[in-house]
Amino acid sequence: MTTLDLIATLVKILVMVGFLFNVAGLLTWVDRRLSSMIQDRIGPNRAGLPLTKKITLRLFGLLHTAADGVKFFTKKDFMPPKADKLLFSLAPILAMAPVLALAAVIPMGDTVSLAQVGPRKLCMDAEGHALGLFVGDQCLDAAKNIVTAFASTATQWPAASRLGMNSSQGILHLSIAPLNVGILYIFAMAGQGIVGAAIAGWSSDNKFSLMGALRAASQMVSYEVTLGLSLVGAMMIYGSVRLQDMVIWQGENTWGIFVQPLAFFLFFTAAVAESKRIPFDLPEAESELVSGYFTEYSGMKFGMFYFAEYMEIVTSSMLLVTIFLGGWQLPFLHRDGLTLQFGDTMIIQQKVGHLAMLVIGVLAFFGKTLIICLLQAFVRWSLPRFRYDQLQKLCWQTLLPLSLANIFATGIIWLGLQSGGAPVAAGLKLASDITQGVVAVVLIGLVVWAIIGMFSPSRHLTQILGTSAKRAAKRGGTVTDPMQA
Amino acid sequence: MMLYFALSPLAVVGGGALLLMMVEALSRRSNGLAMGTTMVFAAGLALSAGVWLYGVEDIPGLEALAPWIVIDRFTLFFDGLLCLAGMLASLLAGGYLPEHKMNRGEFYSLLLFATFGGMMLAASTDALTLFLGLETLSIGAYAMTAFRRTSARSAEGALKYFLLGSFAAAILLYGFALLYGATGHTDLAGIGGAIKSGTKYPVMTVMALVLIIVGLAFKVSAVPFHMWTPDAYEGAPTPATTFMAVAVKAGAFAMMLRVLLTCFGDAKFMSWSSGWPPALATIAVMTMTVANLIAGRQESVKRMLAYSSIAHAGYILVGVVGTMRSGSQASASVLFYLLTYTVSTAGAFGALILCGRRGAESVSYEDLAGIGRRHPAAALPFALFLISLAGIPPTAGFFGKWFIFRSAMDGGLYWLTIIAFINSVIGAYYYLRVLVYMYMREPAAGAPIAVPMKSGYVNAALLISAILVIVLGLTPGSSLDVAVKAAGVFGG
Amino acid sequence: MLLGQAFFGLCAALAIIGALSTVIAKNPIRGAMGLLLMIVAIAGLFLALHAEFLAAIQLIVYAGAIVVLFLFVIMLLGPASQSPSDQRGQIVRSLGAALFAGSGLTGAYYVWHTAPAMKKLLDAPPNDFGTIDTIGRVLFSDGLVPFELSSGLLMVAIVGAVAVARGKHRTDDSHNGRGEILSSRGPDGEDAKDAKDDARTTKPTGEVTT
Repeated sequence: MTTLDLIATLVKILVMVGFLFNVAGLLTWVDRRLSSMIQDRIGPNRAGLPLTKKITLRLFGLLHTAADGVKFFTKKDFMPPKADKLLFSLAPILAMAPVLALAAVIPMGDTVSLAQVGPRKLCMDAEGHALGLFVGDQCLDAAKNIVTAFASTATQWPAASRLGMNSSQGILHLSIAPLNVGILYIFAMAGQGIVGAAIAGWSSDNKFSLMGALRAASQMVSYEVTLGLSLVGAMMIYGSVRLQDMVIWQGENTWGIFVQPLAFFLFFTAAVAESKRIPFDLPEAESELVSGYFTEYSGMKFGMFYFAEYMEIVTSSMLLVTIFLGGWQLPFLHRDGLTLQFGDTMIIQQKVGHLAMLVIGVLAFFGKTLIICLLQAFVRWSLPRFRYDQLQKLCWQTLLPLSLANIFATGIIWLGLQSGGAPVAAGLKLASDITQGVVAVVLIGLVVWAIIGMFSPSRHLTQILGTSAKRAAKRGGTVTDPMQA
Repeated sequence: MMLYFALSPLAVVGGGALLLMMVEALSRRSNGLAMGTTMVFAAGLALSAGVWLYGVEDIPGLEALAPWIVIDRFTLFFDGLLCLAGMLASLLAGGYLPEHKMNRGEFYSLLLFATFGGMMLAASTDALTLFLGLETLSIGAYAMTAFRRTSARSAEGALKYFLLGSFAAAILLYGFALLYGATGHTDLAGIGGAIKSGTKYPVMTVMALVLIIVGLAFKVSAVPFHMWTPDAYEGAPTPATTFMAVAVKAGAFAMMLRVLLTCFGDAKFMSWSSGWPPALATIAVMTMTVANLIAGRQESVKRMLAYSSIAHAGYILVGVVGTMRSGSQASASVLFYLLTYTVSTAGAFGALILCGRRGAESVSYEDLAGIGRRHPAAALPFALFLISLAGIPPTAGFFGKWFIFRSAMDGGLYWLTIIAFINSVIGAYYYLRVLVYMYMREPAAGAPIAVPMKSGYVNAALLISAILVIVLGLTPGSSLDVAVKAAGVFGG
Repeated sequence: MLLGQAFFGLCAALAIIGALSTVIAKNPIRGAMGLLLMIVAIAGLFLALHAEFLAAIQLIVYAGAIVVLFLFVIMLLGPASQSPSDQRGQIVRSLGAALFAGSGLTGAYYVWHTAPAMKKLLDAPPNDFGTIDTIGRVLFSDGLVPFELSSGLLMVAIVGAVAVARGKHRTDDSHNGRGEILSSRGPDGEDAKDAKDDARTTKPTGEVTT
């Protein structure tokens, strides 16, 4: 581990965790505003910073998130008198830590080739090990002496050499820890989240909490099976369990959603169920269990559960993007630039610099993640809650058999296609290029639509009238007839 | 291709189990399951006989299975024996389960998979496959024990069996882990070779041997590791008891012979002064004596048969000890004994099933009182199987004991033979006691009178066992030849 | 070597603490949490041995599924699951503990003394030891036989669990010789069975009679 690695890792952690925290915070706001939009309300928009006596900075209610944060920290941290003190305090940590740890293997962008970054060149020794950056003629490595002393011991650590932290080979992965076991690490971490919910409910000394914890544990254990099995087909096609390789495959061929459409929906459903949100929010069903396993929590401990849930949305969206929606890849954009090509017919080829492509990739990844997060918020406010037996039935009798069938079908089709020879391969290439074209058109269409929407004149009337009121107005209004009132 | 032929007994049982599960899931009738299961077992039996007759030595390509499993005459003998045991158990289940309102298809798949595990166990030559086979066999047996869900006895027996069985499996696994540490091998031949050439870690090897013997003794339910046996045997549905008494025991003895003779088969470990024979001999003496003494005091025939199966494990252990001096002759006697024990015990349990019906399962001596005069067709086979278990000529059981005792005598183990002989005399007491109740007692006034059930399946099982008991008793020579050939794989 | 040893020491200490608290804790949930700690620490030890796949599987299977199952069962049993202290059999229990501690210590002693020599006995692991690719390749080539055989073990475990845990017997309640029919699955799935049990005995469904 060299200085470069250390710095790069720190930066990566900062970017990832910063994104997680900010988007999760933002999502709490989006969730509320979206719910108000869907439910014909105005939604929270009161919290504000009083700049002067008359002007208050409101930012469409964005500051509610900040206000909530302040409230969490200042509220009394109540603990039920008969609660198991150790476990009660441990539970929120156990709920939050795995979600944070999950983000470690998700690749944010393409592999950085250090030799190509910017005008400065790496100085390397004879074997190509990076020593630092050239500044002018001098090899700059500020803490080089100290670090080499540290590195000589650090590199002996078994795990370190194989984690892919090899800036010494001139490349840098844009994920915090590009683990060899990749996706298995994600399942390992996702499994730990259950324990947090379970012992939160147990230690609160409350029947509602206990019920919630039981529901949470059984629900998460059940859906984890589907979550894992739905990805087996994808792993078979990508030929790897490393998320990096998966994204690279998708860049070379086509997005995972086109090769594994069923798995996409299975994974999406299971991921929503894992994050225990509507329509799978039985562990915290307000109408039955007050708020389930965290009923007794208050202050920042509650805040951690609350925040962990939103972070889970972000990480599951990231996973979905990485595995099914091409990760950092955009259609026709490759490492060396734009290549618009259908089958063998080349249309446009345009070289773009490495750094620019990197930035575009990272932005694309985060952009896609945001879109999926929004989709999850929409799901939350559009579907009613399941009954408990429906929930288990859906998992064990529908999703699980479907995911097994998916594995079976994928295996057979994949075997058939691979033994098809060159013509089949060419046909597949063309088909995947066409899907990329479709994706590109849809994406551009979305951007255009968003821009048009932004610049179109705002219609104040429709902002006040919601959909049902609009419909009523179209039919001539509701309260115009005095006899009806 | 010939490789698949050699593997066909194993494959037909495993594949048949899957096929029957599909049939059970898709069809609305589960009547034919017992017949289907019997057919699968019969096919397994026929295929093992076929491979045997073809000559397994002539089949090329078997080394592809090394070092995990081996298909040799020993394996084929146990394949056939386990298929026979499974067939008898499934025939009994076909009569017993509908009669006692628990005809659920899972039983047959458990039976088939457990037998599959037993065949795996007999074939395995590596600690890994050995453990896999053992667990497959045992888990099937645990689940079958717990099959009668409404009965507290069944749950109790199954829980005891499961917990103690898991401990025993863990102990066995520790033993193999230590052996791996001491020799660097997990395959039995490699372990044996390393031990023969003198391992550097004798203490570890001996510790491993002790742990392995404990694990094995548990699986064959030898005293003092027999505590689970009566409860599990009594709680389980009788066809499951039959399976546990014959197939599980046969599989465990196959494993015992394979492990002891392959891993610890060198001169040092086979000697009386510094090896496993004295330990096994002690266990054998304890097993025979304790089991026979307790069996005589039982009021329940099913429990008595459970203790009797423990006692028989003791006799078989005498044969295993005999391998130290008389080599393959003793192992052949063990195999032959297992064959005679299988048909006699399966028949005895089958006759017990036949003597009861719905709501009035006969378990105690009193239940059987007077049945000999009222229903001779049920009592006669029962009597035959008990005579065979007691070892009275001209039944199969007699020659089983005869060969075991002779091989022990040839090995110079006179005192062990004498103890075993005394024990078989004690054993005759409680077997004959059943006959006394059946033929010479009348049921107490007001007590329910046993009425045998009617089932073609049970009758068929009894017929097969009875024919085998008599044939093995009249002409033991040819089947002994088979056993000798099977035991020949260990050489010497 | 320093970092590696520190990592090993940390994981080993945590594993021992976890194991001890599993045994000592009076509260079953705390015992389960101790088990969890031990499992995670052992996964860390696997990681240090380059067995990354094993570490991940350890976490998925043991921490993610088995400990959760324990927690689930303990919670189902409720606070009553804390057994009152049982004073019976103290001597036997202490003897058992002593036996196990003794054999454990003996084992540790032997491992301590023989480990350096044993290291030579075993081949050095190849460079890609413990990765998913290698394990997959070994499983489907050298280890194909036990891999295939293990499917038998899994099948029997699944069928056994179903046989033991399945709902009430729905077999031949009727005496008209059609009893076994009822043991097959009805059109309305497993969970409606209890409610329909009684209705079925007297009024078989249409599909049954035809």
